[in-house]
Amino acid sequence: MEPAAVQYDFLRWIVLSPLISCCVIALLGRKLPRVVTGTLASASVGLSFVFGLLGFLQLKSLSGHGEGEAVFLADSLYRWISVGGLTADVAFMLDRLSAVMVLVVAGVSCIIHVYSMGYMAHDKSYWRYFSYLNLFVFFMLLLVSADNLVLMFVGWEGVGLCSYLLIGFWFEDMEKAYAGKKAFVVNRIGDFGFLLAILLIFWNLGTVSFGGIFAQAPRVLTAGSGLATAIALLLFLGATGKSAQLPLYVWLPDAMAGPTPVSALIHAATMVTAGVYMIVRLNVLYLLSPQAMAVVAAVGALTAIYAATIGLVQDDIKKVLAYSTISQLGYMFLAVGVGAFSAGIFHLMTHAFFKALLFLGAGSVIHAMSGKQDIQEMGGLKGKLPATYWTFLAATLAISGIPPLSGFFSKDEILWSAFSSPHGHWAFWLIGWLAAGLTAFYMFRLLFLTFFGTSRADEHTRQHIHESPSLMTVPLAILAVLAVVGGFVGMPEALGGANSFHHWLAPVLASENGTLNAEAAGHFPEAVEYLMIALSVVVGLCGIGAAWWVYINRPGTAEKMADSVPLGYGLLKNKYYVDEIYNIFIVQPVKLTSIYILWKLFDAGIIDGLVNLSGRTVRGLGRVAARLENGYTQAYAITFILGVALLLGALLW
Amino acid sequence: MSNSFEINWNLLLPEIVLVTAALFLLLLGVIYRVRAGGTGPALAGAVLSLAGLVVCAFMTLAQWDTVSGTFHGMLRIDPFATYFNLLFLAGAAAGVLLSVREAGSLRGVAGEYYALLVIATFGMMVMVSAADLLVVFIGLETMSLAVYILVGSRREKAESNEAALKYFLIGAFASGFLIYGIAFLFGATGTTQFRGLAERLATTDGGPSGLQLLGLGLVLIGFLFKVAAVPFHMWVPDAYEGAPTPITAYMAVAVKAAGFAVLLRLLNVGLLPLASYWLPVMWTLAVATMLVGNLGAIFQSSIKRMLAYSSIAHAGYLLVALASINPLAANPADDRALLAVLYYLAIYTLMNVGAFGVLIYMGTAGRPMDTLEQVRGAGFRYPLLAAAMAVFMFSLSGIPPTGGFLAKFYVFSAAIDRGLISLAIIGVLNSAVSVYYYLRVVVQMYMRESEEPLPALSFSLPVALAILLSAWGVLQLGILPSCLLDAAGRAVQFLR
Amino acid sequence: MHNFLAILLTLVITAITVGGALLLSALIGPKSKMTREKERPFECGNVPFEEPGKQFPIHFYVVAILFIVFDIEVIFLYPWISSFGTVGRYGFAGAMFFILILTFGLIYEWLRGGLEWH
Repeated sequence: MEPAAVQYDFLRWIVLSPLISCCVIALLGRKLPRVVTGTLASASVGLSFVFGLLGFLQLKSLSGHGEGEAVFLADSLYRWISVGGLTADVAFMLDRLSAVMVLVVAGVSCIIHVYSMGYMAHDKSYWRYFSYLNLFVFFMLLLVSADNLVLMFVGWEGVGLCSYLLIGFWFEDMEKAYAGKKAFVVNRIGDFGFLLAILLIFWNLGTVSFGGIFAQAPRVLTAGSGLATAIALLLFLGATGKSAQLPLYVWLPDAMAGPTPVSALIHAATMVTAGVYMIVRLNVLYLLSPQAMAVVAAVGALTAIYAATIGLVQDDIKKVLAYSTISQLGYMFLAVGVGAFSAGIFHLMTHAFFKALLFLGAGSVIHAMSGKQDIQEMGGLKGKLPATYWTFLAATLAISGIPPLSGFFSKDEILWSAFSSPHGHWAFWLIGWLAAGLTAFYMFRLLFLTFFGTSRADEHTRQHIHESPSLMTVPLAILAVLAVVGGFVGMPEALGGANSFHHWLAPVLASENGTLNAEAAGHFPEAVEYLMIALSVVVGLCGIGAAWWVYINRPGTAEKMADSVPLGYGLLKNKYYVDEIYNIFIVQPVKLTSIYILWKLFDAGIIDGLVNLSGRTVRGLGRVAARLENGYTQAYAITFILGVALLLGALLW
Repeated sequence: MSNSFEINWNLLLPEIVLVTAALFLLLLGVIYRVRAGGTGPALAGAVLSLAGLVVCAFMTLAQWDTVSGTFHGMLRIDPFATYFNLLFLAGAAAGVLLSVREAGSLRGVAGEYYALLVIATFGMMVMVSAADLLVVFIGLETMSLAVYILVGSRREKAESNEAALKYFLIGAFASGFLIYGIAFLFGATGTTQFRGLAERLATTDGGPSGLQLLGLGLVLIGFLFKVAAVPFHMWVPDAYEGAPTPITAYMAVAVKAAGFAVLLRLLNVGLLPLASYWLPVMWTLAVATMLVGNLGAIFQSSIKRMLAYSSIAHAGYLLVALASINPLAANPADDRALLAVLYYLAIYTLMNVGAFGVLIYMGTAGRPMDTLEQVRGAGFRYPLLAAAMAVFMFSLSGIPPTGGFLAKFYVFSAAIDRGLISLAIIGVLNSAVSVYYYLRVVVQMYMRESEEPLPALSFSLPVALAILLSAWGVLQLGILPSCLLDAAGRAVQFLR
Repeated sequence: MHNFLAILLTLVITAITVGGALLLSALIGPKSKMTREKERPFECGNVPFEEPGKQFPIHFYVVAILFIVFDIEVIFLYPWISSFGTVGRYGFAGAMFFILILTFGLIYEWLRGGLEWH
């Protein structure tokens, strides 16, 4: 059944509202008072959220509560590209999936905008920050509400650009500017895959609009064919870049150089999840290629445990959260890889709540510690920063999967799907389960080292510790509430819930997945599901207990453990030396090739050699000629002749 | 009896206007110089040449619907020619606008300078309107000789002279190959007319003869030199760097466009029966050109030299489109590759005029901004200029929503259309590499502080106008490209 | 193969012509050893007074080029004269236009000082 489109004129304002605000701030920001700039920026995003909410309610009233017929809202501005068979409009669509994304993106963005007004209050480039941030929200909303791949790609590139601008926001520091560039370049590797996938899709399906793709793909592409796999894997390459999965994750830890609210918004809650959204959006294509799904699940599972092990030993508060983000994104890919698309989006949403909260809490801590980020120098902040502590605790419990907080429901659904789905495997479940334990451990290590024990900060810093202003703590509180209760919308049936989140998304997912849980339940007795739930709670509690034992009960154990396995500790501490490996095997060869082969050998060696040779020849002919002829031109002519010989040779033989 | 000499001069009105303007510019240069001196002649030259170009452009525009031949089929005016004529005129007008501030350093040769600019443009118009290889050659030489002199027009500068000499020597070399190739084609088929060539080549029994292929190869070399395809590109960095910056911009946009325009017409009309031979050549050269251009650009510290290598790289992307031509397409308007070339060249003109314009504006008269260090901190000192530069750099690297993105998108989708997947992959990879060096300019402008405070810039209306129009065009055609695409679609119908 | 015969022939004939001339002169010409006298620069039988490569007036070339331009003008006008009766007014106008363009060049050269011999 073709989904029915309903014209809805407000859609464009969801996207345009931050853009307008961005333009105003970029043009007038220097002259406007800070309060006006910040309020305008936050209000414009708030407006997007309100329009998004209106759209959501409209959608709900149109399609009823359950798995009714697939209806979506559409708003087309104008025809953008029209060449031959290729047409792409500047048009937006709001279906059940993008409605969820719009609400999450606009909602979290709005909260973080407000927080930023407090966090950036003393920065000299206040207006520049908010114009970038608004521009980012514009591109992100464009990405999630685009109705075709090309427009989505515009948003995709745009958020990358804004991420780059914001990572390098404090560009006076070379290191930070470099981090921005690294993020951009690594992302381009992924984007290249995405662009090729778009071209392949257009070439084979003759359309780039989502509606067209959904209709055409099952007809044109054979399930399991090489072509379907190629498209799915190229798309996934794009997703690994944007969502920091193995092997393209290296930019995300460095991206922490940006202001902390940026890390919260872009590098935890929204942009990095674009890859997950894209795969779920195009779930039709993925279901046609079980091989690609297996790759996605495997990469996700490996990333989840890999990043979690690195997170165990990091000392920079933001780096711990960065690796944790990579790990959690791995969970989402694991979910979509085993076909549990709604579980992936569900985790995306809960993760947006608790990870944004963690980052903002970390920002509040850093704010209090006069900019210090090393958790070894913190400790004992519990009493001094009560609001930050309690909200941070809520988020930490949520990410550790402790019921009934939001993270428990989403993570549990992923683990259950990994085990029970037809695309799943017990090994996926085992890896995810172990990673869950590690997550609980390193998150509580972070919590204990930061907030418990005695302060290890120097005297000067200690005197300045203060709770953040309410402009920052109120957003923390809102997010904390969401992190605590946000999971109930997806409460599984096994626990007596309605799992309304899953039912809400079902119509936009391909049919196979709609019956996934029912099938799975048929295969396994209910007891197995309860056992799994119990196991995942137990592993989380074990992680917390271990952290308590190592960092509270027996301080010093961590050092002893590190000393007893220096090799393993060193490996983790240095993030498996991946940056170094990339540097040796990729960055340096490219650089050296250009320097030595192209420049030194070709330019300096061959050309200069020819020059010298011809120079000697020419000197024999007389100084007059030598003065006119500097030799270079002969080298050019020789190359030219070489080209002529090759070209004619190729044509004639 | 006298009817056989009737020639439709009306078709040539735009060209006649240009030549007349050039002749008066020459005289103006000498008369004014004798009487007055100072910057007067330079300004008068700019105004007169601009007036000539604008009048010519209106007359060309009026020919938009004309499809007709003249001079006994030696010249052919059709929308394809008109599209490119307008592009050349725009490039020349941009060259004049960018030159106004530089012209003070021309030391009394301003009249000749503008005259040569106009004559070179006239040569291009002849080239693209030609229906006969010999006329192409005349147009090509008219253009080339004028451009050689323009490259060396800053006579007091050693590098300008050196660049001109090198360009001239290699250029003459290439012209030799071209005329040799024309001779072979004539020898093999008995005609130099495009349509005649196509007929005779198509009816050769048992595949093309060696003479025909030799002619094809040599003729291709002549034009590949002009568009700076590897390995005929060695002159580009030196010539671009040594030439006065406005002339560099003019060369980068108009000369390259002229080369590609003739290649398009020649390959699609005259040499179409040999497509199976030249398509693989274009494939190989496209790969080599993209690689050399992009790798060469990475380590340049001079922005001008970087743009020179970038111009080689863009020639590579355009060659990708040439390699993707479908010789069997019944209607050329359905061949996306042809459309891609026309759209690409228009966008490329805007991007380059803008980028060079910013370099000129940021420098002082006669000494444009050049190295990467010099633009440090420009993002804060000159916010509008830097923003424009950023737009051009993003467009050159093919980031949406600029025209550069759509241009690359069309080229690569044309390649995919023809099943040249590996070529498209190489192209996309190359454009990913190019982001590095284009972005470096933006990084320097926005993310580095200048060591010494940047000076205040003197306002220059013509240069500002050129930058503004280019930036507007790059964005406008990136977001709403349909008007240009419609025009290009009409133009390509007259290929074949 | 037949197609390549012409090219092959061209190449062979070129090689024979050039190589043959060199070979013949080497074979027939008188053989002599290089002497100090023979290696010295030669200028109309005299020992050169100074280094070659000194400056000379560029005017010489300007005037010579001008001569060529008008030479070619005459060559182009000659066929016009001989067919004056058939080409009629149209031909006359064309020739006048041609001369007009050249006149512009002459005026330019004149004003530029190309005809003055300092």
